[in-house]
Amino acid sequence: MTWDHHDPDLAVIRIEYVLGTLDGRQRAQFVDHLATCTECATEITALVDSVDALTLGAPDAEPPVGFESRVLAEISAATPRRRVRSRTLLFSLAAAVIVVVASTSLLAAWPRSSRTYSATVVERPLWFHHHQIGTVYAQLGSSRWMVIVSSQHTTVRRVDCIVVTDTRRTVDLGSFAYGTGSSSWPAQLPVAARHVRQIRLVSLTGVVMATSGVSPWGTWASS
Amino acid sequence: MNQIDDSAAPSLSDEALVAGMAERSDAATVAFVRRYQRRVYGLARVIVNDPGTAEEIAQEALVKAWRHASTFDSRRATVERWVLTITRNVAIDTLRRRRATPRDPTEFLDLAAASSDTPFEERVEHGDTRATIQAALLKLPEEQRRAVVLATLHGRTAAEIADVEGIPLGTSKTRIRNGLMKLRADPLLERIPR
Repeated sequence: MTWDHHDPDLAVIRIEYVLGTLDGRQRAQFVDHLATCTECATEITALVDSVDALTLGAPDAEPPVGFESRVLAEISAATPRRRVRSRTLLFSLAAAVIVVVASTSLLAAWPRSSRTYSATVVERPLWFHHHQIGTVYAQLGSSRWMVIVSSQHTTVRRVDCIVVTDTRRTVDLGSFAYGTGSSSWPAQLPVAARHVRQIRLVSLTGVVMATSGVSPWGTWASS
Repeated sequence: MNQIDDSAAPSLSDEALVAGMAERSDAATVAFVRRYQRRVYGLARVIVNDPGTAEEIAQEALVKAWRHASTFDSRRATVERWVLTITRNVAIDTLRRRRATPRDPTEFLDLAAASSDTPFEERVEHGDTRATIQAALLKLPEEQRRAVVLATLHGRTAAEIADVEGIPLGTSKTRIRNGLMKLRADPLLERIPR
């Protein structure tokens, strides 16, 4: 569905979209419209900015005695696990470089079924409307690196990379350049690769541009 | 990994502290928590009524910021906006999950106004962010201001606001819509760093 930009209802729909109060059908229609409407995408960004800005209006308040210590204690309790990971950082970086080289050389080979390049490097296709538009490469084991290679021509210039874990938790890994043809980037996973259920690339206006299959990485390795 | 010197951390920029947290620097983490604990707790206090719940929200928000420091993107928001958006989302989740008591939305402005001895107009003139937000909100009719604060900071739906305010659903939607459209068009908000 398309809207006339002079239609006053469109302003209403944009606001209700930002506040999440559109019903399912209207939301689907507007998301479809957003994928190709830069004017609405710009307006949505501005509205989100206005909503976020209100948080800056809150006054400072002195937290209760011992608050800082309790926060730092909770962080400290979580830190040892992170330190184990940091010891393997050099190994992971080297592995990521190897995966980038491997994935780039295989870019022209789409579409193909899943393969295993070594004991640990696995891949799964990225899909958009039943067309393969890229591949996710990752390592099994304790490594938390993956590389995404995509080839999609679209007006969307940046996408957020969302990781869905096997506990259905979603983690936003940040935004990446997109849509001008072939692109690739490495990213650090929030959990071990075998606990990743799905990867989603989502435009900054919320349109899902690509998804990997819904499956544990362990299964992907043997497919 | 701890490459940031303890004595240097407090003078680092927000972005440098977040980068240090992403590298799990202890000094950067301590400096970040010290710098933002009052902002984060202050926002939690204007959203929920109970100080204990506000403390839990603030603690969870700061730990989340530490956990996800590597995903911070300075092109999309300032560190202040990032950490306060995390806080707001944690607060809204908590309000919904526990059915905790939200604070009266008008107190948001009362508390903000009382937070400085400097005259309000002078603070706006000098680009004080909090005063600028207050000024933009104060331009709205009171019923729209309440609806906007409830919808944006408290995460209330139009139906919930209709229930709280004792008004029809259509009126609730109109107040939120008109209030947000005025805020969106207000040149005062253009002054706020993104």
